[in-house]
Amino acid sequence: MSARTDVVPTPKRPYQKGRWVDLFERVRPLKGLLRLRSFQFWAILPNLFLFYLFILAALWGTPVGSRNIMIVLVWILWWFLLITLLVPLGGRLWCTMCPLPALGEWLQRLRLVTVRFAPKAKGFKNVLFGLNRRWPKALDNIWLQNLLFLTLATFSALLVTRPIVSAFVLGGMIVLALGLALVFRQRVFCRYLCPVSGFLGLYAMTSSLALRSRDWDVCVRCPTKGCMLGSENGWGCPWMVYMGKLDRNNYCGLCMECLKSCPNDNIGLFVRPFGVTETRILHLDEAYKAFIMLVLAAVYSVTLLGPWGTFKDWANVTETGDWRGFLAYATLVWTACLVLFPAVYALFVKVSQWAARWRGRWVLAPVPAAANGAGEPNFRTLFLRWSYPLVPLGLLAWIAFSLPLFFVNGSYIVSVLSDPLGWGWNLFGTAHTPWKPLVPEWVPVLQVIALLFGLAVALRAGESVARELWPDPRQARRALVPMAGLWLAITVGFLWLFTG
Amino acid sequence: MVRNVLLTVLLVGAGGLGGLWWARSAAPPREVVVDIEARRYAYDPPVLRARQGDVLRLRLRSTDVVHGFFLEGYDLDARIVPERPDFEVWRPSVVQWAEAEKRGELPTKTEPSVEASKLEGVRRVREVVLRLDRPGKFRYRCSHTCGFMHPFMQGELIVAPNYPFHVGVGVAIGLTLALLTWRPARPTRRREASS
Repeated sequence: MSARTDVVPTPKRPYQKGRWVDLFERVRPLKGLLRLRSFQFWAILPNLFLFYLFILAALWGTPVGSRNIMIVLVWILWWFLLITLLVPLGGRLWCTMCPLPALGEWLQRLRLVTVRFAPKAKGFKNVLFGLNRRWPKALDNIWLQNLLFLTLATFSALLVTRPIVSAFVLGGMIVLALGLALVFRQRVFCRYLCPVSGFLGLYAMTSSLALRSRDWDVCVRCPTKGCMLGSENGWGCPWMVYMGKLDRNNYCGLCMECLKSCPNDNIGLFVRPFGVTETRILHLDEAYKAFIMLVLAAVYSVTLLGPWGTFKDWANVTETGDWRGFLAYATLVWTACLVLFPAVYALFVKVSQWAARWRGRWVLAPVPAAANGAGEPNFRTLFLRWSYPLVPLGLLAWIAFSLPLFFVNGSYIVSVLSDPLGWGWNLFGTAHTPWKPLVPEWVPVLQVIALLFGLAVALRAGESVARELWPDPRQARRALVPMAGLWLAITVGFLWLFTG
Repeated sequence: MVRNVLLTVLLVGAGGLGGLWWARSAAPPREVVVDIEARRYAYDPPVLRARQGDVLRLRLRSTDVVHGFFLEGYDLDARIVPERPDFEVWRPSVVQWAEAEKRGELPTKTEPSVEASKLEGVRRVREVVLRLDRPGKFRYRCSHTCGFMHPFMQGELIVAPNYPFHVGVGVAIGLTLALLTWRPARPTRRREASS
């Protein structure tokens, strides 16, 4: 189980009764389906097959990205579906069917479907192949994911346009996941290293889907802790999550093992309101993930979707050979993500703290603890809690960014299906479908709607955070003003990039 | 709750109307000649700003390889061959260049100028005349695969009044003000206790 502790107390209930809908009660067959031992295997298998096909296509097919199935299906279709549908509606549902860690996990388990159970074993009740080491405590965070994602993002212009680069990066991730599965127990690659998992975890906080324990008391009283330690029916949580404490989506990979291993039938799959339910960012690495993702949405919007050739030349270094420009670009991206934006955000958080202390006079004075209930939250808590509204804001900015990718370049999907390698095949008679953007003139309107929705959710979540932090509504509102101003400014910035 | 909803509708509506007012333009139409140079993977100038009703006389050149010029919202596409003073132009809703080539219908003669709205087939011209009757932001994109970054080669034509942007900013301001004037129904702690 993760050793991380919460900065603020966790709520008493894993879900909000009345506002959340238990899918297992509404859709009865769903529970039976998800409890099938072979469920995840069948969810992964087609993706694994396609994935290897894409790798082969990338290695032997045309190097022209828009004619190779690897680039077109992964970076146009998959990315669009992931960010616009899967994450907002299903959170980490992609992790359920992701082919990247599958080989490692199957090797670690020495089983494709069934469970290896050792009832007399101490601790974990499952038998795993490999060294079974524990992941180092110092790395029990998502800093590595943040840095790996930032590294990949720096080379993203190459990644999304060169099939061979995509093949090596995705293939490398498979090898890494496999190696780590043999050294460490459970899915340490997914939990601590996978760059995709990092942002999925962050944005899954907004998701309408959540897997939770129905009653924490049942978990506390449970003598076997099957969800965490494994049982004869299921593996111990591969994501190292204890259902008796799970109250956020960040680290639940929706593998559904707990559903099988729980002896008390205490696991529910819930549908809940989007974006405003789970507003607690608890650690600095998570806050930084929110900063990095938001800044990168802006960076990509400039380099990939912007009209400025200089930035494209800098990012496209292997073709232009402009290494100085690339260095400037990389420095700018890393500094903006790790220093500039967090510093600006910290400044606004400080102003928000001052605003909450302001008592109607033109002098800033700390509110005495007695007048402030339990005392005012400290800066670190504020910084973390105020970073949550960037999550819905960032997700919708990414959706706005992804809309033109699909609507403009979607017609490549039709042609590449008939000619996946770019070798002149015409399997389904669609290979010569001309490139034709789909309603491109409406894309800016859709982008505006997405960004405004993101702002509305961010403001609503921000209001909820403020009311949790300051019981006095006047203080909460005063604290909210500078932060809301910043979220508004960020939204206007994206509006300008996409439509201005 | 009703107060909050009404206030939100009012402020968002006011923001939207404010955006419309901000976007309005009363300047008379003009005729502008624009020379656009295409190179891997950008156009120069990268951004064209104009007003609704303006007439653009577009001249397209390429400095390296064959590029396209697909203008969103105006049903215009072009093929620009490097080092040539003319280019082929057509309306994609009427004909595709590849189809015309297959049928042997590509033009052999260069015309000095053609009006975009009157194009029937593919024409080779030195200049295409475009009446900007649609306001907003439109991208011009390369429509002929020209290299690795081809899908991202684009420029921007911004025709004022740009309603999506100005109304979007107005609504965003309205949304923010609305939230800041919301009256909370009940303090959070009491709600938690009662639920």
